[in-house]
Amino acid sequence: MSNETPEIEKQIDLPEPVSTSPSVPKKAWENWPMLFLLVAVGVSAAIWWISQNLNAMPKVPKPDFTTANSNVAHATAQLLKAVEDKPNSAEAWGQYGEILMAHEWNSEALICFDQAAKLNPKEMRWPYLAAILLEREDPTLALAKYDIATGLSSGYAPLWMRRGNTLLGLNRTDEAETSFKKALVADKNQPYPLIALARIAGVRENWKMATELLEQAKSVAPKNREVLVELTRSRMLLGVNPMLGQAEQSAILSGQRYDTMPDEIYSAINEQEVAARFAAMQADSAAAKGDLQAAAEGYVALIKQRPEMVRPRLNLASVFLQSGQAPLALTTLKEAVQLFPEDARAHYAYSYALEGSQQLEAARREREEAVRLKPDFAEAHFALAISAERDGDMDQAIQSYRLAIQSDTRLARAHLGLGLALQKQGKLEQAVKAMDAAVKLSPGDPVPKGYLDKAKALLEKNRP
Amino acid sequence: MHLLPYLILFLVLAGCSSKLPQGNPTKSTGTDPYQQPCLVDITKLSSLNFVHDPGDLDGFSMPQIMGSGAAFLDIDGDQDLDLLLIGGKQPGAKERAGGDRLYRQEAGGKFADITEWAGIATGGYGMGVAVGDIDNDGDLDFFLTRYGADRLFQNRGDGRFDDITEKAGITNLQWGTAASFFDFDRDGWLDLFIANYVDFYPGSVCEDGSGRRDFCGPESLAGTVGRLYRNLGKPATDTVHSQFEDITVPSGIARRVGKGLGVLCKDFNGDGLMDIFVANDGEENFLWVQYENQMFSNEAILRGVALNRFGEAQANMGVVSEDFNNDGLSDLFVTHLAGEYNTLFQASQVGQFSDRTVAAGLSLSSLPFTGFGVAAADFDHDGDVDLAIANGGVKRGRRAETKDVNAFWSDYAQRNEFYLNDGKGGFESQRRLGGSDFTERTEVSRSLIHGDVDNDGDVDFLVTNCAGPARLYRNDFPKLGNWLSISAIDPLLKRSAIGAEIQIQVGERVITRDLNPSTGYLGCNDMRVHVGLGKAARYDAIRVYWPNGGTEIEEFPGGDSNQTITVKRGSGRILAGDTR
Repeated sequence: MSNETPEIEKQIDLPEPVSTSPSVPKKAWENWPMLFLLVAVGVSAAIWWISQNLNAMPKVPKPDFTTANSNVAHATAQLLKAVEDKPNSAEAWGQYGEILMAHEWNSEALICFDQAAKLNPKEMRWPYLAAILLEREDPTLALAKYDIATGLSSGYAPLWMRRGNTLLGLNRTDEAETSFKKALVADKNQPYPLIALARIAGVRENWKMATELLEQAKSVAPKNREVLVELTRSRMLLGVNPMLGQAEQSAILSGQRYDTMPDEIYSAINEQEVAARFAAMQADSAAAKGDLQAAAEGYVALIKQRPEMVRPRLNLASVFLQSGQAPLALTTLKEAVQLFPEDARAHYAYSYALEGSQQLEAARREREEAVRLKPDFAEAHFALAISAERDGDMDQAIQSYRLAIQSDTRLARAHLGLGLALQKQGKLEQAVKAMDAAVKLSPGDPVPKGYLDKAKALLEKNRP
Repeated sequence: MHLLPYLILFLVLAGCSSKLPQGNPTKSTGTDPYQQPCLVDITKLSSLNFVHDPGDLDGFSMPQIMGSGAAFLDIDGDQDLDLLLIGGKQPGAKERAGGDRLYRQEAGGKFADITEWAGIATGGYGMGVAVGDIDNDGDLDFFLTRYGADRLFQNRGDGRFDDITEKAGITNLQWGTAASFFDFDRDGWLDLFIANYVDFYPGSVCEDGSGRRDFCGPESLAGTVGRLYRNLGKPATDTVHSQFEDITVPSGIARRVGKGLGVLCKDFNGDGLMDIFVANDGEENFLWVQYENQMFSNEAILRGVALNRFGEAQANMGVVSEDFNNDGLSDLFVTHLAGEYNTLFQASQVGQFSDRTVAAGLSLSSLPFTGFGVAAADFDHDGDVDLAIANGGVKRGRRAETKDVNAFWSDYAQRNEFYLNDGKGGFESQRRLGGSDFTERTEVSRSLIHGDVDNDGDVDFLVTNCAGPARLYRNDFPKLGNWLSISAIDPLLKRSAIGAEIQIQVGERVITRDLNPSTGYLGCNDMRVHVGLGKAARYDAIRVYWPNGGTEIEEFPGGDSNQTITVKRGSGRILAGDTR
């Protein structure tokens, strides 16, 4: 069609248009209305843009602090001020959201996370935390936020796990399965994606697959209660005699809450909890001042308040030890290990209490467990080396010293221990080298210096 | 085919506001027939004036937020349901009388307060109630759990009671919540299980996340051990009172500390022995499975009823067991805290369960609510079991815009829920039930007990509220089918056969129900077993698996639907050996 008109025009031979008025140049003032109009439009557009952008900034939420704990109110008010001072800072909004979330001002926290996400759309934490808040109230909206978060960071396994669980809650099992598989890809060292996949297999009555997945999970986490229980149940439903070993039996009977997938981002929220932190600080301060009774009372109260935290139990045990109540320390740490079987620090601390009560074999086992749970736990490797050395297991001792040093090259005690162990094996040159490192790391300490001098003398004496 | 359940739902909903008079013509249809409610609040009409008194709230004492129970029971044998409502009063104040009230149903469905005459006034902060004939003399006795010492009352036969707690040898000083009578050792005498809650001391101070004073939750308190008492019957030395023996330790029950709020006793694994399910608040549930040596072993985790499908321990409270998907296997339903969903543990085989809440459509709708009391019954007689759930918060939530409660309780008030079953175990929440205020009123509800209060063949119910009135709801659902109400009596024991499993044969279909009044939260239901039969005008047979005396199964002949029948042990055809 567009080509037709020129053709017609050519054929008809239209006349030239005739001007009806003379061509007079316009005076400048005659353009003013147009200019004025343009300026007005421009100003209006600017006002509209500013108002739109101002409207996009939500009112900073301020929960009712009047009835809140004064420490909580103070800490929260500080972060509120940070937002007011820097309203365009995503981090300020996010941190304010975190402290609000920690103290259960959830709807206010949600506003903050949404604003933080708007200001920094590339940060995964904000949609992730918003999704966690929404998980139980509005799973569909939570899922949308999880999807945003996965778009920003696909390698965070807890995110895929939570997304999968939300999908399960919405009866979208196939999609949940995909999400759990992605969690598995993101972190192969955790049993939880495998457990979740096994549960889906169970829902489909495929107990063979469930059992296989749980066997895999067991190879990843052989002492995980959930794995042991679910595996036993799955085998029962498959019709296989579950053949309960001691580990399975104690897992079934223990009644301890299942561990959950470690989630650093979410854990940071607990760190924000001011009331618990303040109670912990008070107890720590009492312990530091030597007021052991006040410290013990503080930790006991904190354990009641926050039973899911391991630290107060370890500190309480430490207070018991300091006040000469070793049996109480032992009981406290035993309970800590039972409650937090996946916590390397608990096993490590318990090993010292066991050692103190001459239960040396048990102490060594706890140390082995601690390093299994946390392979870069230098102090635990060092403690295991001591146990091994005491048992005459020098090869293991040397290996553990080396692992301790590998985990923390500045651990002078490990260098010295390695040196002494090597010396016992007659490897004097290596021993001197290790002791030399210990001396360099603790220059004023006469002990490593003394050992080094002796080793050097021995080496000199043995030279051909 | 797929449209059928929806069609049924549509018909039910349409019926709730139908122009046509439905159901029993003696019931009021209200002034506006277009808004005929399915559940009519007849509290005032029944002269029921009970208001729960939690005492002074300044101390945020934990028992105050847990509410209290109620029981439908026929105390005087006149074939209508009387009502026992458990009261509160100040927790820890020993000198003050408790707030329990006993109401006798009189002519015209009115309830008269006979508390003083009946002699049941007692101290302690009331929690729950279990009902049963402990001395096999043909009348109903009851046991009251308290925050404080529990009490056992024995019926004199005319509706007056004697407190025989000490004489009977019962001394539960822990915080008792749910309780249930059942004959675990099959000797014909009703034994007693008591769920104990947490170790709470008056004066304990708890705060919410922001440091404001609030009611304590279970997480910061130690658990306790439930108690099992064996009923020894009446010894020669005391022919008046039944004697009980505390066998908590020898039975194995003492091996686990829990935070029990709900109890349900039945034979879960089909071995003929009674087991005990305990719903624990914030912890794994227990399923105490009984073995031949009368020892119990907790098998909840292996049988799939300890945790939800995510492996999480939830705040388990009220519990009911019914065959929700009509597959012949009894399922379990447990109510939970807001943010958790109420859980349906569906039986996949006898004694094995899986969390199928989401697939049943019960998950998302329950997330905003803290469920306590629950009744599972066929309210519309369409042949499947529906659910009524009493909700109310335990921690400060969003303040409810309501005039139903005062400012203090508006932080905790929630509306209740009602679900209709589609016949296959799928549920749909009925937010607005024909103008009924059961799902619209916003209160802090706790116990929910059911029974045929007006003897018209359908299931009515009563809800208790924290610091509020107990509300009696009459069932005015338009009926989609027929019904049967069954009393199962053992004449030798002169009482209802608590623990019996009753099967009703209707054509090819077998409907299975338990005679177990102690379900839900802190309450006790009608002893009669109510069954909706759908369109069936007749039932073909009733089979009863009697709970004591081994494996005796007795069959009774069929008959017309829409009647209350009594099946008496020994008068039917024995299908499996009588071991008595």
